Order: sequence, then structure tokens, then C-alpha cells
Amino acid sequence: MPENSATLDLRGISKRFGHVVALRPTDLTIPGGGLVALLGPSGCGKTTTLRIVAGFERPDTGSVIVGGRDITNLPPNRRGLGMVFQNYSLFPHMSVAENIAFGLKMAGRPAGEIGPKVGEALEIVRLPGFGERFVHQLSGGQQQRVALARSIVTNPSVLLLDEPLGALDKNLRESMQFELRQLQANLGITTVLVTHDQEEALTMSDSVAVMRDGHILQFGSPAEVYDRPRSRFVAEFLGTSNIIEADVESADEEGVSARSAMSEAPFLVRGSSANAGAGGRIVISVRPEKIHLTRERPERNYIAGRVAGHVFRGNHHAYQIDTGQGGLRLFANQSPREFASNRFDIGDSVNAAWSADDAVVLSE
Amino acid sequence: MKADVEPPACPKRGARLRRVLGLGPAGAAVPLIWVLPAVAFMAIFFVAPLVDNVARSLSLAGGFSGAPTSALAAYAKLLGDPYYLEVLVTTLVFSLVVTAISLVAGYPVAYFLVRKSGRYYSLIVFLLVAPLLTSIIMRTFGWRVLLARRGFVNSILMDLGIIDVPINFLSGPGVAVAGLVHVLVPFMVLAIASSLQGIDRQLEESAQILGASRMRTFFHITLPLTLDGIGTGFILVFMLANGSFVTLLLLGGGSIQTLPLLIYQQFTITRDFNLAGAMSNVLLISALICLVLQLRILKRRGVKGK
Repeated sequence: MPENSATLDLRGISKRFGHVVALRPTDLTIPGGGLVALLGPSGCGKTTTLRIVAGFERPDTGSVIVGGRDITNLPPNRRGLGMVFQNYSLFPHMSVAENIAFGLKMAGRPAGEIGPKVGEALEIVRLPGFGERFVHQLSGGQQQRVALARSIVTNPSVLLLDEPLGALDKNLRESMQFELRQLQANLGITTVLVTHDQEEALTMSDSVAVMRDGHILQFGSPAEVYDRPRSRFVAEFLGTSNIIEADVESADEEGVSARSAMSEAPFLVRGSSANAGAGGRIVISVRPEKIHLTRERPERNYIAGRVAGHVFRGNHHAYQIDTGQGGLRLFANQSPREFASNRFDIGDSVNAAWSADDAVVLSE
Repeated sequence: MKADVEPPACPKRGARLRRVLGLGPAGAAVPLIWVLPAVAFMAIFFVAPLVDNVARSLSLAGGFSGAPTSALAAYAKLLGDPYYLEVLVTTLVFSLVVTAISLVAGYPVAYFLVRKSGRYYSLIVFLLVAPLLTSIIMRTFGWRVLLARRGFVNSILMDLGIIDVPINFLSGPGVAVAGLVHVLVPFMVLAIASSLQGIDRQLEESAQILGASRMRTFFHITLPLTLDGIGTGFILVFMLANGSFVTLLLLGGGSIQTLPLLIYQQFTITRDFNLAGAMSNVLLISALICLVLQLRILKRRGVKGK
């Protein structure tokens, strides 16, 4: 099956619904066989983008190109795509096998070919022998697999996943994330994943496009968008982040040095001097897991405060630190091992410190 | 309702009695005593007349048709005489034709109503239901006015020079079918519309992504998923057509003889209550048989297991 790994190219597509701009002119290229996640809150334009690719919405401007072929004006049924919907949309009046065979039947494949292909697809999603069952007899996870089998059996050039795991419970979702990713990689199908779940986007994709208000805020590998967010929105949407404002003292190729009323020590941010000139104001983001709680006073990069809250989260301990500065609370994580040797209780004085490499300057 | 009222499997006797008297334990469903008024009403106005009618149809007291040879003489006459059998068949065929036309005419209306009417939805529903507010006699009589020898349609056709002599629309069974379709089509539309409304549009989108054109999407997905509504509408219209009487009395000019008309004649003109009672029961039973057949067909073809 992996022979057709077509490149998906979106060129300047945009869409309005009445006066509401659902999608501003957007470019996006997904290399053949790649998986790109469109991540964002509801109303950010990710679903509109997917529906334009699918052909359910016609873009006001721009074009959709798959493998060099412009499909902008084709109806959905002539685009040769596969799609998995959030609620799976399995046909309730058909058996599992009939559901999977539907696409092949519509393509006019001979009956002798359809049977084995359906069996093969059921093997791929690890549901052999389920063909005769009806949809309502399946669990959520099984329905999800059937929907997947139905979408890949026609050998689509691009696979569209619309919140595919949204209806599953947490444990199942995590195992399906791995499985889906593995399957997609094995089949080599170019895939667009729409999700509002940042964890899903990070674990499953080659690249993430973080969207908001109808456009892409940041596009990059999962590590890139997580570790080096460019805006406050991206930093806070992808997990928790501590956002600290400071005034620039000096900036060079080495990095930026800044000061804030929150700490007597200077803040140093290495490597990132983006739009920061002396005298300007910068916003720094530090992830909770990068913060080191200590009773000592480092030379730089720390804020003093008191422990205001502490919860155990299984694989880590999460603290809230009250800085006493205009209600600013910092989030810090401690590994269980660190917790055992260096624990803090509520009310303890503490310094939240971080390394210059772990802070990022946001261009807000 | 039945499922709520009936106690779960194998209740103890005392418990069942308490439930029947509405004294069930806290948390029990609606006390049975509340359904008593409805049951009483049905018993007096529906079950009792039915029983009375069955008794009337048995030739015990002797009727105007002469000395009875057996209790079932009236039935023997009905089912043995080719004339009555033909009337029975005509009734069923006529109802079937009316229902089929209502379906073909009603489905597109229902589809438009649910999918395309947008903000005019309420208006269309109102227009659909509004005729039900007028008397069926008025609606039926309207057809006579329209199609009379010197009626609206004939006048226009003659003024336009399309015809020289008025067409006698009112004599054939066609106008009776038209009149009845007119009266019954709203039931079909509303039944289908409610099932169309329940369809997840994403199912249709799924079919399209899988390569089905709009036409094939309709026949493979939409139509099968509305079989429920079609069935409801079909049964509703069929039953109403089967028992319809006023429309046929006013339209069709006696060209079509159905059981309800015959029953009417037996009661009012011939005054043979015995035979009329038997006819009503035959009509009822034949309608029930059709109902069961339709339900069975639907069960097989509808959403399986649902």
C-alpha cells in the first residue's frame, strides 16, 4: 500500500462564513508519508482546513494540491481521500464488513477482490473475524478501528483524522495514539490530524501547526513547538508554562540579560535575542519541569516565593509557588526522587530557579 | 410505556399487587393507578364497541338477510361471494396506490423541509399541517369545485382552447386517489421528516469521502436510514386510506366501491347490521394483516438489531 505517499500542498486557502473569518490565507505543505497535526482550540480554523481538504467546504481563495494535482474543484467523492470522524460515522445499517467494503464497492471493484481486501484491512487494525458483527455490538475502541480500516482500505492518497481519539477513554486513547502512529508510518499515508489535545498532537505527529483565530501561529516539530514556543499562546496551549516579564539590560549573540522587580538576580536567556533590544520589555517562558526548587540563592535566574500548593501527580510532584508579586504564581515540578531528598511543604520559603538554556523569549 | 409499567421478570405476587395498586416501593415507576383513566376510556369507547360489533356480526338473532344457517353466515357470504371479495381487494389495492403515491410525493417534500428549508422550516410545517385544521369534507369538496364540469380547471382549459368539451374528471377513480393523497400526504411527510432529522449528516459525508456520489449516498445511506420513518408513514397512510370514507363518497362518482362505502350502505340503506358488522371485522382483520406484513418487511430491511 505505501506506494502512493502524495504530498499535500495547501496554497493560500481561506474561508469566510458570512462575516466570520474561519480561515485566513494559509499555506501548509505536508511531505509524502508525513503526519501533520493541526492543533488549536475550537474555532481556530483547524476543522475548516480539514473540511476544505476533504472537499466539504470550498475555499474562498487558494488551492488544494495532492501529489501535484489540483483537487480544489473536485467533489469529495472524486478526491480519493480517507477520513476518520470523531464519532466514527460508521453506517449503522451495515455490518462491519459491509462498512469496510463500501468504499471499494463505490469504486466499482469486483466482488472477488473486495472480500480479501476487507479481511486484510481487518487484520491490519487487529480485528480479524469481526466482519459479520454490527456496529452497535462493538466497543468504542473497536468502532475506532473499523472506521480506520474503512478509511485505509481504498488506498487513499491522504488520510484525514478529525479528532479520531476524542471519544475514547484516557487509557485507550494513549495506546491508540501509538498504534495509529505506527500504522500510519507502516502504510506511509500522508496524514492530517486535527486535534485540540496537545498531548495527542505531540506524540503522534511529525510536525505540529498550532492554530488560533484562523491562522497558523507556529509550525514545527513537536519538540520545537514545545521547547521553543514563539508566543505566549503556544507556550500556554502546549502544556503549562511560567510566563515572566522583564526589562532588557543588554542583548548580544550570547543571549539576553534582563531584570525584573520580582527578583534581585538578573535573568539570562541564552541563544534567543529575538526582537530584544536594550531598554525593551521581554516575556520569558519557562516550563514547570525545568524549574529547580532550592533553598539556596543562585547568582541569576530565580524568583523567591512561598509554597502555596502541592499535589502528587503520580509521575511527578506539582508545586504552586506564590511569588507575592501581583498574584503571580509559578508552577514547578519535582521528580519523586528529588522530592524524597528535597521536599518542600506548604508555607516554606523557596527559590524557583532555572538554567539559562531552559528559558525562552516569547515574541508576543 | 409498556416497558415502564410492566414489572421486571418474575416479581413476587405481593409486590405485583402493590404495584398494580400504585403502592409500589419508593422509586417505582409511574404508579399503575394513573393509567386507569386511559384504560377505562379505551375499554368503554374502543374495546366494548369492538366486542359489540363482533357480536352483531354473528348471525344469532337473525338479520334482515333471512333465517341464518349458521352463526358465521355473514362471513361465509362475504368471503364466498366474488363480488364482496372484489370489493375487499379493491379496497386494499386502492389504499396501496394512495400510500405509494403519498410516499413518492411526500419524500421530496420531507427532504426539502429538513435539509433545505432553513429559516422557512416553521412556515412549511405550518403550511403542511394547516389543511388538517379544515374539515376533510371541505378539502374534498374543493376538488369537486375545481374539477366539476363547469369548474375551474375545465373553464381554463376551454378558455385556452385546449379542449372543446369539458372533461369529466369526477367520474374516474383518479380523482378519488388524488383527493385522498391530498388529505393524507402530510402524515407521510411528517413521518419521514422526523426520521430524516435524526440522520447524522456525517454519515453522508463519510459515504462521499469513500467515493459515493450524491445520488449513491442517498440510495445507500440516507434512504435506508429513513426506512423507519417511511414505514411509519406508510402504515399511517395505508390505515387511514383503508378506512377512508368521506373522500370516496364525495369523489369518484361511485366508480370505485370499497369496503367502508359498502359498510355505510349496509348500515344506512340496506340496514343489514349483521352483514355490515361482519364487513367491518373483515376490514379490520385485513388491515391488521397488512400491518403485520409491513412491520415484518421493515424489521428485516431496517436498521438491524436496533
